[in-house]
Amino acid sequence: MVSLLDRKLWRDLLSLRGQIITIAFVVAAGVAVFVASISTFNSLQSGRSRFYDSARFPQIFVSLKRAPLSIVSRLAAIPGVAVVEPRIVRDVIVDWPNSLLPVSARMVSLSNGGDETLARLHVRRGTAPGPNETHGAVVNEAFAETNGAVPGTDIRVILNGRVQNFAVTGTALSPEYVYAVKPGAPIPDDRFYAVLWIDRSAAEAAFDMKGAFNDLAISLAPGVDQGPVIAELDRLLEPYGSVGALERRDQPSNRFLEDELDQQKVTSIIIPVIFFGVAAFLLNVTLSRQVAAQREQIAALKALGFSNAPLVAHYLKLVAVVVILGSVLGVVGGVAFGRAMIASYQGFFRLPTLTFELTAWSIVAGVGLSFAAATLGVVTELRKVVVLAPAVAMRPAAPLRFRRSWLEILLSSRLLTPRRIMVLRNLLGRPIRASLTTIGIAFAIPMVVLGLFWHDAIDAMIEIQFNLVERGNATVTFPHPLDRRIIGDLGREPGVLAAEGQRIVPVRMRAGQRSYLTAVTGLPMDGELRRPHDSRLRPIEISQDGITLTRRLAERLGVAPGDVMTVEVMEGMRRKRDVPVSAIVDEVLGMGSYMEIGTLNRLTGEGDVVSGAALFIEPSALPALSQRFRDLPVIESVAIKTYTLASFLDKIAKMLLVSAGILTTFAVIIAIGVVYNSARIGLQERARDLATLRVLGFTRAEVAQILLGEFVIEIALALPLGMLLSQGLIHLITQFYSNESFQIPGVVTAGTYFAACIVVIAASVGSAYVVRRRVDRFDLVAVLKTRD
Amino acid sequence: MTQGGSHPTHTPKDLPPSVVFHARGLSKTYVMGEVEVHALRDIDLDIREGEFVVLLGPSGSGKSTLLNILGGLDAPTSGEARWRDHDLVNAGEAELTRYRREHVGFVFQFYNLIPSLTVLENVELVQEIAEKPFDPRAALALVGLTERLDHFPSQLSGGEQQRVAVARAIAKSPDVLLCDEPTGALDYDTGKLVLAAIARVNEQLGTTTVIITHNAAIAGMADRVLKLGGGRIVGEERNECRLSPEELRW
Repeated sequence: MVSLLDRKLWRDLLSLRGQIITIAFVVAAGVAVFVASISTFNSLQSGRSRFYDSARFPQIFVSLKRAPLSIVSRLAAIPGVAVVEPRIVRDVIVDWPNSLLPVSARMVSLSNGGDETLARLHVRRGTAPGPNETHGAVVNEAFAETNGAVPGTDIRVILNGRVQNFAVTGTALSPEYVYAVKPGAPIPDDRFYAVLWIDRSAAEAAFDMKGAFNDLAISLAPGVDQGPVIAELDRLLEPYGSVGALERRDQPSNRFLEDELDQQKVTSIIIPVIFFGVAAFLLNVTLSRQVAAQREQIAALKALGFSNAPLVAHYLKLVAVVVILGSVLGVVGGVAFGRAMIASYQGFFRLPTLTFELTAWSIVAGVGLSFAAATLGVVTELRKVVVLAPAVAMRPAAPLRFRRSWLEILLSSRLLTPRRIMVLRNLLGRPIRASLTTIGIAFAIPMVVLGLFWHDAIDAMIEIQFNLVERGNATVTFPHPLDRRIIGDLGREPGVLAAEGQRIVPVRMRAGQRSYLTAVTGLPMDGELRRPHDSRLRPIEISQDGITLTRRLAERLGVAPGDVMTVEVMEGMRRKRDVPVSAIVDEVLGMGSYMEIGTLNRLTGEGDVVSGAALFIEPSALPALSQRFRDLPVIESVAIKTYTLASFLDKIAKMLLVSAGILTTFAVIIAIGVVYNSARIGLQERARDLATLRVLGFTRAEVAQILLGEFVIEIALALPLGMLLSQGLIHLITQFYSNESFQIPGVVTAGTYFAACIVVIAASVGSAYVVRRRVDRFDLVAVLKTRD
Repeated sequence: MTQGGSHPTHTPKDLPPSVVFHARGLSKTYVMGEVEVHALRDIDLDIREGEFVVLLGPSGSGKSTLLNILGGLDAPTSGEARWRDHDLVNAGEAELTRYRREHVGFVFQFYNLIPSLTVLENVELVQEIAEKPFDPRAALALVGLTERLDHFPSQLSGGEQQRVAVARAIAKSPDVLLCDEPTGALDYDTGKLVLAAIARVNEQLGTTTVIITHNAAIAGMADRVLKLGGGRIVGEERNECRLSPEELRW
């Protein structure tokens, strides 16, 4: 048996259906983002954890020059160390047919046919080469898929100027290369970077490493503090050319994955908060109108003996319907959104299983949060229901007190026609509601801006990094430091217009208790092809005696210009020197540092050497020259700016499009939700006045102008406010999102703001139009007989 | 005035020049579910320029429906109705709006003032759409309101509000003033003040005035009284000598 109040609820819901649906959509958007972000976070995390566990992902990584296998037992004896896996790892060039650029590859030795004690391979196709199988190689799946390598494909590796053939035996995934990026490259490019695993016997022969190793993977016993272990490893391995042990958090692939997980957490908090806030406000306005319109009904019900509890429950049910409807839509949307996000991650992160797993508690929490926000939004209105005495409620509500506002005094009386005065006084008569409406509409702007902002940010990143900082169009690296004269030779290659030497040295920087393993780039003082820039995009002259740090690195080390820190060279003579910090620069990629090349060479004590070069090549000569570089043994790798950019943009374009599309939809939902609901409520409240004007001879358009005039003002105020909010939000997000791999510039272009305003105006105009059509359907006869 | 019978077709140019409202065979039927309600049955009516007409009848007599059709707010089910050369039956929504805008002043039972506008602004409001606006202060003076012009409706008594409504109705110099139970929500003394204002408008401006009321006492101030019952005109009286509102008793 449906109770009387439930029947009333059903009718109220029917008459409010437009508002219920639009608010439910706002709730749905919040729940969807919440459920999708939490579930995506958990899916990524569990996909990663499963892989790390099953593949026995190491906790510590060390690379060194060369050490005899006999010391492995000493390393394994360090207290806390569980397993030590010695390996041979080398970066080589692959002669890949028809490739535009030389393909770089990392070769990693296997001791047990891929089923290693640490960093075990997950073989996807074929097999890994077994012990003593010297001509087989298993290749990472990303490279294999991008370049069409299948079991049986020949891979020609250039080893010390000789070509050695390997046959692909299979494709595999490794926990160390979930996100495979070439060392020193800012972004991954699967076309030109491969990981090849070969049997230890083959690696020993190829790299002349019989009975030796140059890389270690180490796992620790549970609960062991890695600090002392790392210190001991560094001490023991220093004589063997160790560049210092890396903890898991600094392992490049793992770091990218961690950064992405952190971003998911940010998304799952910021965006739902906006939606739940807007939904709370809309419910407040709607319910406030409903309670006002039903004053007499509430009074009559109370007079009939209904107590407060069922009446409050009655209005709470209305809220519950909105939340439930929104939650159902939100969960469905969240699953779709989450699946799309996971699908877009699949190209980035190579995990054996990365599937969308719906996190059950996120549904409970999402629905709970939206219900809490909605209830909070309506609590003042429910209080009104409770305190409303039947006798009071039988009388009409006290009319809204109107008065002249300060604005009318400021504005010329010629501008203030009675119709405009109506608009102004309606707006200022309910200042809180007008402000919240304006703020609500304003919040739609950052949604669009957030969607489109990434384009701007990436354009800015590209502009800063690839046009301001790296002004050449190609860089090459050498397998080991070479005499500076090589730069002159490169400069004479056909098509090379300018060549400048660079020296990249692995170092450990120490400042007080903090330390960081990184590389210093040595640049010529009058260098033109690579010029670091400061935060205001002015070129920084490299100081002759200090070190220039990127902002993130300076923050991590806690140093400022003028401070002195210790730089420990991790190769060659392994000198340790105190160096003053001469400047801090903002760069968008990585955690780099710069020194004048001569000063750096004096620090290492190696003389006048270079380890790479920045080149400016005549564009038409690029293809031929990159072919030629493939055949020069002195060149280890080549990066051509346009190719790097194209691959990067191609990879993220789809991801950006999806996120822009979703966020723009959200913006439309907010704008429609706010404008439609406010206009409907405005119409309900002023129906009698507006119909009176129609009877007096005002046209539909004139009457609609009075109704919608308020929104013109509110939207006009919301647009600049929304832009300000966008800036704040972008600032917040760039702070949260920026990590050690990327520094996101908080740049929003005028075009993005323009697009955001257009979207919000269009959504607002659309919803206002729907309401405006109701003006056409006014019952003019009824108005003659109705008391206010 | 004729009732029932045949309805010779008139065109505006056939009408005596002083006839402004002209209706023949007006019927209005509302269908409510399976029930048909005949609000008006076959009404013939002519109203002359400057005439003061009271439509008198109890609830359900059809007087409101007739006023709505005369005011261009409702269309009859059959018959013809004209205001000079305006066809009120076949006119579209825009034409009816123009008709109300250019020719009709309305006074409502519950005043229907705009609560966010002051007394003066409520009157100025209609000036915006008037072709030959009447000075708002003069309109207010005509209804006896020369003070409290900056007050909001909520600060006025019912009688004062209704007089503002009359001033608002005449501020665009309408050709006809249609008043729907103008004293229905007012007490005796206040009601008379409002009626005095309406009478003054009719006398001094020559505005054709139609009042609908169930208060028979008001009939004394009209030129002509049409009694309605069951959707028909059941009687017509002509006052040789109109009473002033002060002389009315009820």
